[in-house]
Amino acid sequence: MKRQTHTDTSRYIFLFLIAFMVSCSKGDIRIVKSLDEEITICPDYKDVTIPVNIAPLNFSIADSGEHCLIVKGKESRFQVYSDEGLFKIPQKKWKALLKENAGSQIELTVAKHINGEWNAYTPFHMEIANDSIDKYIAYRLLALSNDMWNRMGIYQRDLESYDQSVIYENSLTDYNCVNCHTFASGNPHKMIFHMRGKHAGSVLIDGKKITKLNTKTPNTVSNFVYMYWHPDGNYLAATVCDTYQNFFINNPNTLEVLDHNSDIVIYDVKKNEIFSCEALNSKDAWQIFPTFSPDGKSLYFSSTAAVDSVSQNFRQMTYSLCRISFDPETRTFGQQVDTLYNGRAHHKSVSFPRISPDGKFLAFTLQEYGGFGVWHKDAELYMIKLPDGKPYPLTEANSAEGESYHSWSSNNRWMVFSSRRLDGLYTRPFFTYIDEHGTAHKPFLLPQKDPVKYYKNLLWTYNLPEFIQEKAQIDTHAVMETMRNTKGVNVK
Amino acid sequence: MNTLRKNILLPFLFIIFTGVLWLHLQAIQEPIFFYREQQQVFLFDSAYISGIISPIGGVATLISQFLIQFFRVPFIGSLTTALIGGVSSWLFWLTLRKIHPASYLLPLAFLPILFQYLYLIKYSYHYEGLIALLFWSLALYIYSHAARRLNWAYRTSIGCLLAIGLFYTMGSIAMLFVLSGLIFDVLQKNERWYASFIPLLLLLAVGSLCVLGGCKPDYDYVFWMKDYVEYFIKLEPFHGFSWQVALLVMLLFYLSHYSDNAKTYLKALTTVALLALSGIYYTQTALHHRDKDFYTLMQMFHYIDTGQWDAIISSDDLNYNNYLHLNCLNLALSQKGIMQADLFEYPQSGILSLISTYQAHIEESFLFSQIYYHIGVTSLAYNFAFGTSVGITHGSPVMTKLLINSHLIYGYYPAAEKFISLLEKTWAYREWASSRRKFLYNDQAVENDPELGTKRKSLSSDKDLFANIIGLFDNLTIILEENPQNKAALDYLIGALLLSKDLPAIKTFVERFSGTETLPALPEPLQQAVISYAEHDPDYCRRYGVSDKTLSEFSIFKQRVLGLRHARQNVAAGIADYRNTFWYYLMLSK
Repeated sequence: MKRQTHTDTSRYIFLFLIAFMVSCSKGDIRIVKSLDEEITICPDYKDVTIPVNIAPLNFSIADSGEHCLIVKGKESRFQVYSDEGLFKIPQKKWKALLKENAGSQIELTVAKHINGEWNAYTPFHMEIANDSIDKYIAYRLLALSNDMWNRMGIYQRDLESYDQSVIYENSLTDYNCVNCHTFASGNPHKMIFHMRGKHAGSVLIDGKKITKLNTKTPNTVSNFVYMYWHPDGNYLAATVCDTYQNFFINNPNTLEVLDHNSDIVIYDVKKNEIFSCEALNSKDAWQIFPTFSPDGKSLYFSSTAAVDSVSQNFRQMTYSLCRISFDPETRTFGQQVDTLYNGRAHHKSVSFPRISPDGKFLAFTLQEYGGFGVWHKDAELYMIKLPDGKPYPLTEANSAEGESYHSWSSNNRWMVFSSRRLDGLYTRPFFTYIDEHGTAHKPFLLPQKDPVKYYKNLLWTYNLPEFIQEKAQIDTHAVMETMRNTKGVNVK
Repeated sequence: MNTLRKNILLPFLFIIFTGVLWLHLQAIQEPIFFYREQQQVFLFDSAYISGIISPIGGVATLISQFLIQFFRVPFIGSLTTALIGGVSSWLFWLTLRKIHPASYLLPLAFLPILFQYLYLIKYSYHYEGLIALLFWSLALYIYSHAARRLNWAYRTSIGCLLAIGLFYTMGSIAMLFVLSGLIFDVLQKNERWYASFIPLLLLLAVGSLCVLGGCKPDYDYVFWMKDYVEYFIKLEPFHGFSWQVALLVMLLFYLSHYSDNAKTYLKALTTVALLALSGIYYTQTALHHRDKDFYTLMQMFHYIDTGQWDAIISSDDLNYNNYLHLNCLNLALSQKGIMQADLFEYPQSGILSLISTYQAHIEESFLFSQIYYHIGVTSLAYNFAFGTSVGITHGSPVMTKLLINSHLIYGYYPAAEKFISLLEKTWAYREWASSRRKFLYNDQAVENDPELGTKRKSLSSDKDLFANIIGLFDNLTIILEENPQNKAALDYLIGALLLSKDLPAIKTFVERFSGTETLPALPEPLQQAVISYAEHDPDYCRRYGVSDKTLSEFSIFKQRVLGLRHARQNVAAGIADYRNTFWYYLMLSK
């Protein structure tokens, strides 16, 4: 009996080796005919523009039959067989192909095995931009809820691979709410984020130095929210606001986040004090979403006239895009406020202004009303060529669902933004190429090993995706110790 | 005799004890087993499982969640928990008898598990703690087995492997393991017993690295019980008893060497005394920790989940001074279609009897989401369902079902499809989820469905109204204007009017809706309310649907009250037989 078993085992090993060798020696498939038919791929990566250093854009088709993907560049090509409809593209071959075809395009052909022959669907293409993308993005992941929270955290993702790592998770601080992470000009070593609930305070991280800041002062209505660093790293612009959220009985936007008052203050990091000016701290108008220009000499923000009975008159809250000059040496503001986009005149509302690092373009979100476009299905990305260009929609980047928070790459050519376009509910990060004319190209979804399964299963929403140039190395234990065990520094 | 005792009597005793534990758990903890099942959505999905398994203690979580999904079936929660306890105690006994085979001390082997059962009375204790103890007893058994056969080097290596393996898979129970392994070696005077400090030191090093590396918040999570309780629970000495008693029992077995020559009856007496003392302590502590109202609420949640409305209405455990209990009762009355007529058959206490005040507790949002969904305030149901799903760490199947229905009502099909796909990966809800697929991207199917169609029709056409601002009364009025057929909304609107004793509002409501499609006939309590504000105008009463019978009953009631007042007698006692009328509620309810 033992001998028989041994013989069987040997036979199986032999057969396995044969099968293995055959599978390894699969040569290039030969396309016999064209199906003259387009195949739907998910995510939709057809005709997208991608950076030369992006991780493989794996995708799925809704057919678990035998398929082969042929990825072809100018000189080389490789093929990938489907596994239950998923094409897992090998990293090394993908990277080499992108490098070889930078500034050009690659062609992808899906072929189906029918009756022993390979039949090809209509090929599609991807444009490979010469411009690389910053290696990391940081974002918050949290479950969707309006009044409760649980596990959440700030994470970072290596865009050249699929690796996600933790910047900070709230499990270390009794599951409090962590929010509003902001890096100084994409510098992963200098950031601030806020904790709400237990151990509340803002966490200011500058290299190895971690400080707990208590940012609510007797003269401001709240802690700092919607923060933005001055390019020299010495100032931090922040909104202080009184925010409520209400739930529509029947409106596609589901809920509305409304400020009943908001001002902008500037925090002097060295002196630990805040200052402002009449234009940013007016009773008649509410200001929000401050953004410094890359030269640090202007502050852009959204502003609306103050509204009575906000829950009834919320449609009157149409934020304009404004600009005021700022002198970092003297900490003074200009006397004049420029209005780049008049919200009231256009019956539209501006949020999240963000300027490209070269100072040429300003991207923002435009929606029907209100200061919080994240829940607005009508929210779309718009652009203005600075200093005084006309706003125009980033048509290729927008969708029928809401687009909201966005961030520029350090080389001005890429923008990451949140969109609910996959299921109308959860925001996912998309990347669009912005060419030198300021035109957006068809965006692509953050790649995953198995993107369909990943995004379908994921009950967390991506919040505030922001480019960072390197991996953030935060001492989470030290952050926890600081937040739990120190009283913090009161901002003056 | 020894063989008989070893092979038959002792296993038989364990089976008996386990059976007793099963009955006990079934009687005492059944609602919490149901509730635990409602606090997680376990998916048969490789990515989901690998996500659970990867953190420290992840295997314990995986096993817990896998088992808990079956707790939905009556008796399974108690049976599973009793079996785990029985097996764990048996394994512990196998180690104990190596220290000294004192059979009369056998009940002591159950002590660690009994404390676990005490902890499990409270939902804030995780089932992982029990699973971890099972694996501790297994690891200790393996270790004690190896320690007798292998030299100190192998023994120590196995100790290290088991300690780290337990730590990674089960969490901080590894600390109990290294301590019990050390005690075992000391008591057994094993070769170089001090080598058993090595697994302890190794665990201290690994645990410390975990804390310093930010994997766990503090040392209580890696070396003590904090890993098995909700983060907001402050550990008390009581939480450590399960582990401490395990070490103590090992010592007692060692000390039993000295009583080998004691008389048999003394040993039997010791066994009985141990059982009695354990039983008394256990019972008293269990009664102390068991929150009766909370358990009743958990039982009601199970009835709501399974649609056992009669069981709620007839429950003897309901506390009418507890608003959440009343909320469950009134939901059941409305579901049964008897709320309008029978509202005052049960003690009511103002409008909060319908929906209590929200104080950001998970049980409230869990219940309110279902009440709002039932009456057609879908936006608030949806909002509460999201909140509950998030507030509960591992999700909630009932809330996920509610989210699917809400998205279908609104026609947000991609989102509904996402949650359907999710529930299709569960054991208990996959059929229900698949049955919802027919509504996806099919407005007609939704509109024709009695449940979804009614609720979609109840949505306001005004896009600018906020449900959380306008209040319950206005929400219900809007619903009835949109959909006069929404009977649940009518139940709650009439209930809200009557319970608030707002006679002018009742008058406005009756004059507006009486005789319409919404309110073709007035239920008796509402007729009583009409008389209450128009007693001097019988024609008015009749015009708005008050029957002659009710008018004549009122006349008798009024005579009774006037008579009692005239005689200066206690009115409340004198009209006690009117307890089930609006008149009684109007006069005497606070």
